[in-house]
Amino acid sequence: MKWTLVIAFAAILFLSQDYWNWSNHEHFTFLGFPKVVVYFFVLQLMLAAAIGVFSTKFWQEDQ
Amino acid sequence: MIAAFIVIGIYILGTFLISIYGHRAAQDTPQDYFLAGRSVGVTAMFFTLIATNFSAFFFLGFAGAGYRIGYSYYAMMSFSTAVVAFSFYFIGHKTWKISNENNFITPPEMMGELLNSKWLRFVFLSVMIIFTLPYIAIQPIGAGKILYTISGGQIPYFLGAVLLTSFIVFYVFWGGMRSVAWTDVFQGIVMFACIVTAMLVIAHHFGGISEANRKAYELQPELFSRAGKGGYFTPKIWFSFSLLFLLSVPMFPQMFMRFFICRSPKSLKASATLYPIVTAILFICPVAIGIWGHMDFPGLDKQGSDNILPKMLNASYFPAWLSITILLGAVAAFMSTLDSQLLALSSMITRDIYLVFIKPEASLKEQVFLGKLLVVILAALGLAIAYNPPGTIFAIVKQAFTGLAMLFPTVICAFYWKRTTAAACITSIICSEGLFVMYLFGFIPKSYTYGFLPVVPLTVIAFVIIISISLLQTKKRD
Repeated sequence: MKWTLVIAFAAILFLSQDYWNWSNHEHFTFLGFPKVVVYFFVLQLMLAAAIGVFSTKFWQEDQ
Repeated sequence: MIAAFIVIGIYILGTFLISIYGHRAAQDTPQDYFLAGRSVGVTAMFFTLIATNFSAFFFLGFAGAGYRIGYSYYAMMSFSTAVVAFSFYFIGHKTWKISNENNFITPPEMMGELLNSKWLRFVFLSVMIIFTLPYIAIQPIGAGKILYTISGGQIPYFLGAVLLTSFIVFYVFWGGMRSVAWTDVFQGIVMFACIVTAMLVIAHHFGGISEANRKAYELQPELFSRAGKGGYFTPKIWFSFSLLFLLSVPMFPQMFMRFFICRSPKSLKASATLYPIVTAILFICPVAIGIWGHMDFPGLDKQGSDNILPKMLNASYFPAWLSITILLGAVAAFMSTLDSQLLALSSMITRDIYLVFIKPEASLKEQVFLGKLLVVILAALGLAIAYNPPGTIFAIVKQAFTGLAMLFPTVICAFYWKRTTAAACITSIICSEGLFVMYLFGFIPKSYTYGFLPVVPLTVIAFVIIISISLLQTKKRD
């Protein structure tokens, strides 16, 4: 499960490459922010969720 | 300017009242004075980690960088800072456990005792002091300038620096870590409320966030590109910054010592989960303000763009009292960083120099007294430097992240690899710092980093040194 979480996160990063590799600045998204902002905003929220799941399931208090 | 003095007065009073809590609960032991009796709970832990890490640069520097580089700066800084949350698990939890079981108070003390070497303790301490001491001087400089701006020039720069630093010394002296942690909660809330309010008011002035972005894009489309204006953020630079912050932020003594003070790992778990959310939401504010600054203040140079936030706040779209209140967020950011730095340095000098090399039999009360005295001395030293700061101060501060990151391999190996030896760690720290200095002075060509920041190759070298020397030594011993 621990590795599933890591692999899932890496897979999302890999699959979102097309979005990340946008080559110009004409693509606006939410509230007029460019894609680079929206991408990393969402990525950080996902990171928080992943850490939340990890800390609940695997982060032992007496490790 | 009466509004300025009223707002500053309310803020100072609020901080003072909270610091009383620290003083009332304080006991005369180093564990209590330097570490709040290891009793900091979830809320205070979260805010003290954030408030300590986000200095006044978060307010002023981010807006300036947004003005010059664009939205890619948000992406780079916020994500690179968010991954620091991993260190709460790998370093934070282990530090909490080891320091709690052995009553360690400072990071050099813990590393020295773990590998049974007072020289490792000394080398570790030296690196921490060299890269933290200049901060104690530059924080009052920032504070003085902010207070000068807030008061419309009525409080001179150096008087402002003296006033704010004296107030910090007062509550750190009085209540130690308890006061620092609880004032961090207040200062953290002030910081966040101020920067979000600033963004919303400025966006409203330009017709809303979407409209502000559209107008800024028409003026400076490069600021909306992925690589930023000038194409600085290449994939290698991205990777370098992510690694740099992950390795260096937990090595700042004031951050490292946060791992000693929590009551249980629950505080670290909650902080690690919330950290990326805070960076995602908050970092966008100063960067967007900087980018929107092009509409009213076009063509600013580096120095001018670093003042873009105060310039925007002083513009006509803010009532005076509100712009002053928002600038107090920068003061809060400065105070919450400086108080932690003063306490961290005073505890390290007391425990790792005085107790080891000067008076090993010093009583607990004597240690607390010396710690308090050092808070005053260090603050006075910082102010003396701030009066006429030499250029080298800023040069050292600029390189502090890489300099401190060179301690990371030692910490990780000492925690997770049983064969690690003290000699290997000392050699690793000295060699990697030496190579870094040679790189800075041009003895090593810039091309040797292959497009990365120097932290990447230096970290590899530091790990290789520890592993190879430790293996050699332990094989001989076996």
